[in-house]
Amino acid sequence: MIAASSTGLLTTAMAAGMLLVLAIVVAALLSAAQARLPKNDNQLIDAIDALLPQTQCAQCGYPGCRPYAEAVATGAAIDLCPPGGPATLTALQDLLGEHATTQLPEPVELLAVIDESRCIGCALCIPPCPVDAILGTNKYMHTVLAQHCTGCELCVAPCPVDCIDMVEVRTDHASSSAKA
Amino acid sequence: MKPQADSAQILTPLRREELGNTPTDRDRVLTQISAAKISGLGGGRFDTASKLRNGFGAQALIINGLQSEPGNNSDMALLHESPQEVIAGAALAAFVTNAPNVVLALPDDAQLSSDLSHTIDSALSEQEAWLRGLLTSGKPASFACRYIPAGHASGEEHQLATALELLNDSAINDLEFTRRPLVQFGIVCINLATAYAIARAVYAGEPLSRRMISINGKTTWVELGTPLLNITPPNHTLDTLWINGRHGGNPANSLPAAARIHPGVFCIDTAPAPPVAPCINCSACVPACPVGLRPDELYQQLQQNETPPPHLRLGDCIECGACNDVCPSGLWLAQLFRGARAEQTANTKKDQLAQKAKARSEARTTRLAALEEKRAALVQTRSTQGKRAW
Repeated sequence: MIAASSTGLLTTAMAAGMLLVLAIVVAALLSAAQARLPKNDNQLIDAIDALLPQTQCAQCGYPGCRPYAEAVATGAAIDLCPPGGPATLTALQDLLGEHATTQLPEPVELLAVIDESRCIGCALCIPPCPVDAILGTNKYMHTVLAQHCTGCELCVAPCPVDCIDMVEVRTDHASSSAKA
Repeated sequence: MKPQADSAQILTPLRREELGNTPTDRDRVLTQISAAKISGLGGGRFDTASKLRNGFGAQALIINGLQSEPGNNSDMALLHESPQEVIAGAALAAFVTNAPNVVLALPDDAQLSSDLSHTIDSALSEQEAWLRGLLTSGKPASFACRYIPAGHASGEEHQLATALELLNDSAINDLEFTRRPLVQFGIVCINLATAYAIARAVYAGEPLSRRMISINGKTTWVELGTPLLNITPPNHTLDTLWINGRHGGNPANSLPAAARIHPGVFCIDTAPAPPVAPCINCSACVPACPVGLRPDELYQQLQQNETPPPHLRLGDCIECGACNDVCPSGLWLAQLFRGARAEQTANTKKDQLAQKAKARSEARTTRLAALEEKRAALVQTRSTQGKRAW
């Protein structure tokens, strides 16, 4: 009898101990998960914005990267950014713990080039440029400042003579990536 | 300096006696080097004239005769063939950079014949005598040959400058030290074959059109632009060749541009065997790494497609291939790290561009908002005055 009750006591004590351990583990996991997510809305928006490619192309349906980051923070889909491609999608998934079902193709880096012989100097392409990368004024030839162009394509549609081409940027990743 | 049978005198040669201790004469030499289109023959292919111009006022000039890749002996073959030209080129480089300390660094296993050592010594003292009075400091403080323990990566310029004790400890222990150009530490390092090309350009008017190259250990002169397969044994394809060394080099098929000889190709080897086994965690690569990295940990991280954490210092890898050399599984670690480093650099650049684009976009938004505010205020004023806004 005495033996049995002491065994029962022992079992109870062990169970309580295990519960305590479990509680500590769960608490630690939860706090770790909380630490991964930024504390307030602004921090979350900043964190999302930092992962976006800043092309400001509006292909996501929002007027720029920051507005899209704000939308994502309040629940918009995370797979709307073609220039970011799979890398941005993965980064957003990691940050938000969401899982997107779609896959994005690998992005192509683009640069706008004005065919200067065809440019009529109408200045219609200048206001849409989100990063002020087109130089020109009325009746003067325009040109794209290549080092500022993000390849957003927003200048292409407004051009009445279709003299803006998007060309692929040659990235020099040549340095052999032989896989071990 | 007798011109060689197949040399082409295209530029007007300069005469050594014409050169004096003036900026104009330094510039004449640099212009000649630039006109000869000399780029670094150690593999970097940097524009030599710019390098020397930027290196003006350096404390030390190293003529790098070490080739750390086993089986590659083109520089030593060149020294055997034309020691006088090499040293004349070294003196010219010292003249244009005004560097008081000049070191001809050679591997300690060079085994120079007594004749050759004698020729080198007399050429060194002869050129030193010429340099006297041509440097602002009066005469070279030292102009000598130094023998450095040969071994993996001993020819990498940061390792070499360290071995020559030209750097202080704080510089060496600096994070990403190997990413900082040596000129920041007052040292100019040029390849031995580059020194030769300088002498040919200046004194013989010969532009850079060929280089000494080692093909499976045998050295020969090759015209730049020669297709790789024209000079290798007939049974080879680009898949069975490896350029610039079997350890730190690249497969010839990885770079279409490398299918032809360019100044940066100094060695062609039969391709090494592909990896035989996965990493067995033996950590033989750890003591082998000349810059003290953990190749095994870097490998594990990269295999899992993870960005190696900063404390593993991927940025400090000099891609020498010493880890490949000792790996019992035959892993191509240096090539893996090279790819990862290139990716890291590309990502950093991408981030910087994104930050710039963000700043420009924000500036534009602010500007447009201010304009809109101004316009609204104007409309307001006009309407209270009972006039039409526009």
